[in-house]
Amino acid sequence: MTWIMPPLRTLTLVTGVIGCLLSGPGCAVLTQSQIDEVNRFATATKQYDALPGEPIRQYWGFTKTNKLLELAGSKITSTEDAETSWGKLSKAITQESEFAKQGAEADHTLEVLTKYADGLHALISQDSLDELDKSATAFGTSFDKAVSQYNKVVRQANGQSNLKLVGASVAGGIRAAGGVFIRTKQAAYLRGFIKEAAPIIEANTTATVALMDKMHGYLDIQQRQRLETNFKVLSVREKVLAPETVALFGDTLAKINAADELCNKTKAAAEAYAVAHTKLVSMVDARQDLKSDIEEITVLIDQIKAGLKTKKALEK
Amino acid sequence: MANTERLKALQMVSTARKAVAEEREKDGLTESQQKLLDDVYSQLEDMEDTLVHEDIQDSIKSLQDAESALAGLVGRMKRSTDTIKELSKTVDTAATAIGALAQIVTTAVSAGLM
Repeated sequence: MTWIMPPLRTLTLVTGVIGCLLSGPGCAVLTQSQIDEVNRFATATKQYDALPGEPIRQYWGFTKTNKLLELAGSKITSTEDAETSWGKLSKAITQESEFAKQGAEADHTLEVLTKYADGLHALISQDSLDELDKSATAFGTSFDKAVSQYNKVVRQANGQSNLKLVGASVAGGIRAAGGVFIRTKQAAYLRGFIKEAAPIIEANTTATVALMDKMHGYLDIQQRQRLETNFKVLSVREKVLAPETVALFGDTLAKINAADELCNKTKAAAEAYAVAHTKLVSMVDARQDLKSDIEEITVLIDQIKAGLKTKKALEK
Repeated sequence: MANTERLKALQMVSTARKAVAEEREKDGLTESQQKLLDDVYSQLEDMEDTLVHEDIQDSIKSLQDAESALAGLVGRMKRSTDTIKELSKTVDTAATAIGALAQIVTTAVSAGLM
């Protein structure tokens, strides 16, 4: 029964070779540093989708505030005037809640980037390899058990020496071959999907940048101008403004400036996202170990953090 | 309304609103003048709001187009991830089968069948 031994000795080697052959030319697996960078990119972009909707929500909030300030400067001399003013006030409130939904719509369109990030994480996940580890270990154990049984029942009964227990080596061979096979498939899928996503990410970035440029202009031409007009009209008509009114003007102007800043930061984050993604495409194609972190991803992380900080300040 | 036409209209309305604003800021207006200017100003603001709302909606539409394309790709990514998981399961099945085979061989030998 010594026929069992040669296949056992060579199984590790054979499975390793098969794994490589199955995986295609060059055993094109991703290096650990490449996997780390894809994960870093995916983790960083998970918070990005919270940024673009905020300037829109803020914009419609300022529209409401300006309309209320405008009403404060209108003279009411009859019941009819009072009713008209009440109508305008109600409309300002309704319009804000209606139009501000655009903010949520913008955020919603970018939620797909989080799903894309999750998809990248899942695609190169360690889970499949962990499963393979368990299967290979279980197989090695069961194999050794079978050989022990054979030694006991056959070899020892015939006065022969025991066969070596090689389950661990066999398990190692299966794990190595299967691991190479899985990692190669992961690498191939990842390369394909990241490349395919590139033009879509570019279109998304262009649309986000265009939207933020628009919001920058609208905040300046519509809201800042309206606030200034309201301040001047109210000052001329009232002659002296209450400190609370002045404080409200000051606070609103500061918020308009912050929303404008958020537009710039969101734009910078969108551009950094596209640059980091492009770098990721070339990185997974390079098939080499990375000496250090990809700088473009670090820039992206910084931009998103800066945007989130401004957003948080605006929400106060 | 086409986007270019809308932006032209918006520019004209904004310019008009600004001109009315300058009149409103003047001192010495009578009550009726104030009311008239306030009314016109308010109507111009409403027109501006409608045009801005539509323009933002156009940008959101561009984002939605990119979203649909990426959502399709994400769906295929998920299916590929499932395929990889299946590969792992196949290895598991093969390993189990080999283990069972070894057990059968041992049993057969001990029973004197081989």
